[in-house]
Amino acid sequence: MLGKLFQHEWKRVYKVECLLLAVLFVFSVAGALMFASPMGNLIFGDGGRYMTETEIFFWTMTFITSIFMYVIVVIGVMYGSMIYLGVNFYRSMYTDEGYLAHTLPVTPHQLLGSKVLVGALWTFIMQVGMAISIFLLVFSMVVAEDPTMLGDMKELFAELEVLEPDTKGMIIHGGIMYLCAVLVSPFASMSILFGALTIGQLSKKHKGMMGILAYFGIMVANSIITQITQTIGSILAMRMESYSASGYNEVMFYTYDVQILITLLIGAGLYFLSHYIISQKLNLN
Amino acid sequence: MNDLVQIVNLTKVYEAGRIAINDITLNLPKGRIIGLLGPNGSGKTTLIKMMNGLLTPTSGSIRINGNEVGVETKAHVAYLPDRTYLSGNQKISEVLDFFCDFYEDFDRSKALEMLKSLDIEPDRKMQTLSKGTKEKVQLILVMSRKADLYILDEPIAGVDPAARDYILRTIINNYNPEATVLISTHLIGDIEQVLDEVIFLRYGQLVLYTSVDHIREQKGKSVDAYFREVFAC
Amino acid sequence: MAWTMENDRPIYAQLIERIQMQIVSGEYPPGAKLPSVRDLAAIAAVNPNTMQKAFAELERSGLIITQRTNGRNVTEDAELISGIRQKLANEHTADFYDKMKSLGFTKQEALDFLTQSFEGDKDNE
Repeated sequence: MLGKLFQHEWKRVYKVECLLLAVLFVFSVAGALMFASPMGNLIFGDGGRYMTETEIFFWTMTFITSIFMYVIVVIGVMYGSMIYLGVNFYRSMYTDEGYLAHTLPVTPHQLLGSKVLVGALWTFIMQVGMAISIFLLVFSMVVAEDPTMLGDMKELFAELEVLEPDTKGMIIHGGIMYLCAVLVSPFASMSILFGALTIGQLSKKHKGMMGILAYFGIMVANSIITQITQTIGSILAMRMESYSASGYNEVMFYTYDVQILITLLIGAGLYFLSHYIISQKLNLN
Repeated sequence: MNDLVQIVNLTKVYEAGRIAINDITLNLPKGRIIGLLGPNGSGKTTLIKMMNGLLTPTSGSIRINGNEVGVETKAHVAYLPDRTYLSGNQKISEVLDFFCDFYEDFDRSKALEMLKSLDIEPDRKMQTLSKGTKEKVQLILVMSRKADLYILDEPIAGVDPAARDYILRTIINNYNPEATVLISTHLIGDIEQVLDEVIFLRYGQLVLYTSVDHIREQKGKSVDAYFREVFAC
Repeated sequence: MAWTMENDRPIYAQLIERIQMQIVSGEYPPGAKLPSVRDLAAIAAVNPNTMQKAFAELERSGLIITQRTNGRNVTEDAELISGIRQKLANEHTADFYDKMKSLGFTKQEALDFLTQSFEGDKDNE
C-alpha cells in the first residue's frame, strides 16, 4: 500500500515541482550564458577597451540586478516548492479531499510516510538543482572574469591532496556531515512542515491558520535552540583553543553535528506526533 | 453474532459542551437497507463520520464486522460523503485507477458500465463536470464496490427527481443479502419505499429504531407522516 | 415506473395486492414466469426484502409456486385464481356499499345508482 500511495502522491505533485525546476533551470542557464558571453566580459572586465564611468556604472548595475533577480528566483523556487508541498498536504489530508484520504484502507504510517517521502524527495531534488545552478553560475562568472582561472582551479583541487592529515580529516568530516544534512534534512523539514499543519487540526477553529502558526512557532523554537547550541559551542571552542590550535574548529564542527541532530529529532518527534493525532485525535470538519 | 455494526454507548461532544451524539447504543444487522433519519443538526453526519474514522468518539465504541474502526473496516465500508472528495484535476478514469489500487472489492468494469449508462465519458476531468454529475460519479464509485456496509450521507439531497430515481434504483439493483446500506436523509418520503428499517435521531439521541412496515402497521401512517409527528415542535 | 404506494398501510401488504391484481387480471396468466425479486423490486422501486416478504406471503396462499430450478411461476390452478378474484370482488363490493351507506344511500338506491352509472358508461362508449 505504501508503494501505491507513493505512486499516486508522486503523480499529484510532479507537474508543479517539475515546473519550478524548469524555472530554476532556465534562469540558471540564462545567467550562465550571459556571464560567459562577451557581455560577461563587459560586466567583469573592461571588454578590452577604455570604459566611461557611465558605462562602468551601467554594467555594474546590470550585474547587481541580474544577481538580485537570480537570488529572488532561487528563493522563490525553494519556498515555492515548500509552500506547494504544504498546501498539497493540507488539501489532501484536511479539506474535503481528506474524506477520501482518511477512509482509504491504509494505516496512518503509510499515509503520512508516503507524503513525507514524496515531499522529501522533491525537496532533495530542489536542493541538488539549486547546488548545480549556483555552481554553474559561479563557474561562468569565474570564467568570465579570468579564463585562466580554469587552470587554477585544477591546482586548487591538487592542493587538497597534499593537505595536513588534521585539516583533511576535518574536511572529510564536514563533507560527510554536509552530505547527511542534504540527504536527511529534507525528511526532517517535511516532517516538521506536515507535523505543524497536523498540530493545527487539534484546534477547534481556524485549523489551517493554527497549522501555519504552529509551523512558525516550531521554526522559531528551532532557531533559538540552534543559537543556544552555537553560543555554548563557541564558548567551549574558545576554551579549547587554549589547549590546541585545531581545537576551536573541532568543537565548532561538533556543534554543527549537534544542530543537525536536533533538527532531526524535532522532525522525528513531529512525525510521531502527527501519527498520534491522525490515529487518535482526528476530527475532520 | 449476525450483527454487522455494533455501536455501544457512543458519545461525541464538540467544543463548549455541545453534544452531537448522546450515548447511542445500536446494532445493525446484515442485509438491510436502513434509513438514518433526523432533522438537520440531529447528529446524522456526526454518527456517519465516526463510523468512517473521520471523527474520534468522545466515548463509547463502534465495531464493524467485529473490528474497531480502522484499516480493516475501511476496506469493507463504502462511504459516500455529503461533499465532493475528489480533486478537480483528475480524469474520471484516473479516479477509477485510484479506486482499483486501494479497494480490492472495487469492480472497474461495473463502474464503467454505470458511467456509460449515464453517458458520462471516463476521459472527462472532474472539474469540468456539473455538481450533479460529480455526485453521480461518486455514487458510482461507491456502488461499484462489493462492500459489507454502504454508508450514504444525504445522497438524494438537492438532486432532481430523475437523478433521485436513478440513485434509488442503483441501490436496489446492487442489493446483496450479505450487505447493509445505511442512508441518511431528511427527505423521508422520497426513499421510504426502499427502506427496511429506520433510525430516528433527535438532538443526538436515538429516538426509535424499527421497521418501516412496523410503523405503518402500528401507526396507520407512513414513516414520513409519523416522522413529522414525532419531530413537530 | 415506480409503483405508487398508499401511505397508511404496510408496503408489503400493498405489494401483495398489486401482484394478486396482476395475476387475477391476467397480466401474469396461469403458469407464467414471474420476474425475480430483485428485478420486480427494481421495477417497483421498493425494498427487495419487502418484495421477498410479499412473495413469501403469496407462496403461502398458493398463488405463486417456487421451483428450485425455474424461479417463480404463477399457479396453474385456475380455481384458486378465480377464488381470489371472487374474494377481491367481494372486498370491493363491500367497500363500495360501506361508502354508499355512509353517503346515505339505501341498499336499493345504491344498486339503482350502480346500474344507472354503468348504463351511462355504455352510452359514452
